[in-house]
Amino acid sequence: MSVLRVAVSGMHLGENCQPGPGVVRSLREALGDRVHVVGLAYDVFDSGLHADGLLDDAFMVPYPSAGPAAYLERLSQIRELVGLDVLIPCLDVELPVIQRIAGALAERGIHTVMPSTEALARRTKDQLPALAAALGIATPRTITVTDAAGLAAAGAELGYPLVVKGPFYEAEVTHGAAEAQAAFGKLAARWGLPLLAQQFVKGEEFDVIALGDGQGGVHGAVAMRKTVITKLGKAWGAMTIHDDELLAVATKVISALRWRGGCEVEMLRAPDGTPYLIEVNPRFPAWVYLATAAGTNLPQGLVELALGRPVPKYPPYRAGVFYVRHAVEACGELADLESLMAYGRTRRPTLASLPELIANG
Amino acid sequence: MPTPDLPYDPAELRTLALSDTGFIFDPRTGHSYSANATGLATLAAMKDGLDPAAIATKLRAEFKGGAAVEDDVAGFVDLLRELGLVRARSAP
Amino acid sequence: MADRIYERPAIVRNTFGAMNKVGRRGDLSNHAEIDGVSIDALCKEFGSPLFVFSERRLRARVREAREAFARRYPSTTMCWSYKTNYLDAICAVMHQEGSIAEVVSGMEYDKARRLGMPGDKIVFNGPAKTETELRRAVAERAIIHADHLEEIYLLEKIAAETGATPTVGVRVSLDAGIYPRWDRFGLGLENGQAMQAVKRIARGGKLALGGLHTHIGTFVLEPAAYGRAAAKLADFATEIEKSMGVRPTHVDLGGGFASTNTLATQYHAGAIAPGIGDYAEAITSALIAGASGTGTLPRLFIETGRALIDEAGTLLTSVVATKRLSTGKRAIVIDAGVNLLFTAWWYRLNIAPARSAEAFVEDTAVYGPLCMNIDCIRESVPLPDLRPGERLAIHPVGAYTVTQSMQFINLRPAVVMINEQGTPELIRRAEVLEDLTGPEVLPERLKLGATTSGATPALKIAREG
Ligand SMILES: Cc1ncc(COP(=O)(O)O)c(C=O)c1O
Repeated sequence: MSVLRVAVSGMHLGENCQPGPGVVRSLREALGDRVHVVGLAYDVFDSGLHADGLLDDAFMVPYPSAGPAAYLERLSQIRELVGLDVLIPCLDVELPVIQRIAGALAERGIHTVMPSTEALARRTKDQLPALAAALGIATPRTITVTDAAGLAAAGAELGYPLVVKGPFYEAEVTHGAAEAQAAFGKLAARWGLPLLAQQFVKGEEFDVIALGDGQGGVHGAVAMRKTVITKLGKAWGAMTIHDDELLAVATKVISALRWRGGCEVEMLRAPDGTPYLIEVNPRFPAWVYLATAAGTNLPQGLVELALGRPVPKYPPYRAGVFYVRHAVEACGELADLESLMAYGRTRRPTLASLPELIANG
Repeated sequence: MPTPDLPYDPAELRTLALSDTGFIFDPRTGHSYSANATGLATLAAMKDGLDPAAIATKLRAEFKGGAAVEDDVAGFVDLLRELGLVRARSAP
Repeated sequence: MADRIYERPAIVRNTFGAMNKVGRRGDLSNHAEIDGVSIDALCKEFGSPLFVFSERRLRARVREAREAFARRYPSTTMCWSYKTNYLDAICAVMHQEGSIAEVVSGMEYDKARRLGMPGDKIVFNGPAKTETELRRAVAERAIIHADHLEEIYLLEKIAAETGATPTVGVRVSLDAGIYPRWDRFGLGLENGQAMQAVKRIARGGKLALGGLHTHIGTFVLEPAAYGRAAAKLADFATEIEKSMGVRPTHVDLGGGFASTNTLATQYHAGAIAPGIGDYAEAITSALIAGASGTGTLPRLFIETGRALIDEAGTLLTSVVATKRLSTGKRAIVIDAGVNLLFTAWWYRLNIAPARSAEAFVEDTAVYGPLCMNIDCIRESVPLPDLRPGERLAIHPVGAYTVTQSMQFINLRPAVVMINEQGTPELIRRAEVLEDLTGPEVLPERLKLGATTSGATPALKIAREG
């Protein structure tokens, strides 16, 4: 069997961990030498670029804010250089861009698995309450805010603590009006408007990772409870669980959206036991490898789906498998930075003799 | 060896690593820089101790279409000063 | 090696988190020509700065919009939103393409009449119509959408005095689930004001009920909001018909579709904004679903403005000077500023050099020619080393630039339209001083050299010296 060439983005494991490295590990575990993994990076210091043995090759790509044309041009260039069969975008902000160019990519033999535009739109943070209501699932009350006055009004209505959320990423739990305004300023500067103010619901946090088939079915899903949560509210450790109710809620959401591809359904169980729907993330989460370790390798399934092949049936996964995140120093040489800066590609022995590789000439 | 007639001290630039790609590294600070082709050529010439007039002549020989090259070189030296790559030194 | 082109020597410090040379590649395109006409040639012939409109792009876009609705719905009328761009040539193209006029002031109304639009092909909106304007509109059977109750009372008075029975529609303010909500225009749907106004029109005996109009906002990136607005208007129409036995003559969903511009607050480039088809789909499917009760589909009016014209407009400008700011950041001064590009305050406009960009670009602040700190077109945009006299193209600038431009310390530049054959045609000449001073009246006693006692000693000395 020939070697599959798969590009994966979201390569940074920092304070905010991205899913790329977990996806790559899962693919390697399933495919060994039969996969050639190309990392896509946004900064020369994206940690995955420098981790030993993670990637076979890597390229710098334009920021999604540069628009679809720039993205398509760059991916086409990369395909010319190293060949690409499958692209697995791992960051939310990439999706609207890649969705626009999915057809053009397919014409170039680069396969993606994308949810429909409608599915993407119905799960955005501001539309989630309507979706939850339609499905009879509890969700924290959410108010869209576009200015300081709106935020103050939302604070008065929902009370404190109040969760202030960016449209794509990041959320801050704030404990008073001043803190909320500060969070608002910060998030608005980074992500633009509008932002969301959300009722704070106390409870234990659970996530479900899943692969939807696009017809309303689910190829595989794994539930976990967060065991270690960072100050930023990110899971730093978790354990797989068998909780049929949470899996049912997640499945209901995925079916309703006819979700195609990987996703993460974030939930919370209030002290009275009610599961609340918090978020639906439109890609695999950073902890995707936990599911693989528990016996459900969803990135592998996603590659099959992308290539139009049947996804093998997953056996039941094991509960009680856990992870704690283990951060290590990924080291590199000046030449590695130079190569990424000058050629937009990780250093390879042949690079200097291949001036045609200069990405930006 | 100080060269008092230059508006910069070439010795300060000695440790600077210049690559043909325009990638520049300052091992004293850990900062890296990117320069265009003329910037790189100017830096290299400064390292070699050329004075601004000689640098301008060199740039004219190596590139076509330069007009106020002397002024540009002076502006570049100011920029290096701003970036802390060379220290302030009164012009001759 | 003398074949290498000289650029000013430049160096930038690489900053953590932004070390990606290809990162902003999308910004680095060059823009050497418009519809095959070189930018340089355009500036040489017509001067700089210069607004350039592409008739080809404009017509293609209008047709796309028209067809997007025609494919989905039996009867749609496109109404050209004059305020978005009321240059005669632009309006004329729109009218040729089958759009009627949508105006929001007496001045715009006059402009539409002057271009040959009959009154019954003018939608008259606006929050501050005067009695004189309304009298004319009534006499010429314009399609009036009343903004408030006082306007309805005024129309009743005109009806009583003239014996006419004007057809009057109502602008409705509704909650379409978007923010901010434009509730200062029209009459509230949810609080019953709109119904009250309709009752007054339909039962007051002096007026006939016209259409239901709403305009939910501008640059609305969410087609679903139009679906919600259309559903509400359809329900409202059904309710009116059931309770009063009259049917509104049309529903008008206003404008507000996003163009391919990029809002300053938006993360993604405007290129991923919804297409006109997405808006059309949301609106028409809601109307079709909403009509299932009565079985009749209302005539649909659409007043989209910026989505039609923005792309077609480019502003050509020239570099005046380059400098380094106190922070070391590169800046350029160009000959066009916020006096021409009001829109620069909320968009990240594309700025592209006319020549192809060199590999080395630097984040550059772009300032206009005004003597005010607010005159900034972009705080930061990657640009190559530019020299005075070099041309830049700023795009898209077709909407709300010419109409909102201000004549502050500079006269307004010429506007050309490149016709479908690729020939540039002047559609507004550059202003001359007389255009500014023409309406002014200088009292005789203030004229330099007047012998009245008003002349100050200083002036006298200046004259004598
Ligand atoms: C009543 C009305 N219709 C249409 C428009 C056109 O809006 P846009 O250019 O956003 O499509 C406006 C703009 O303010 C408006 O007020």
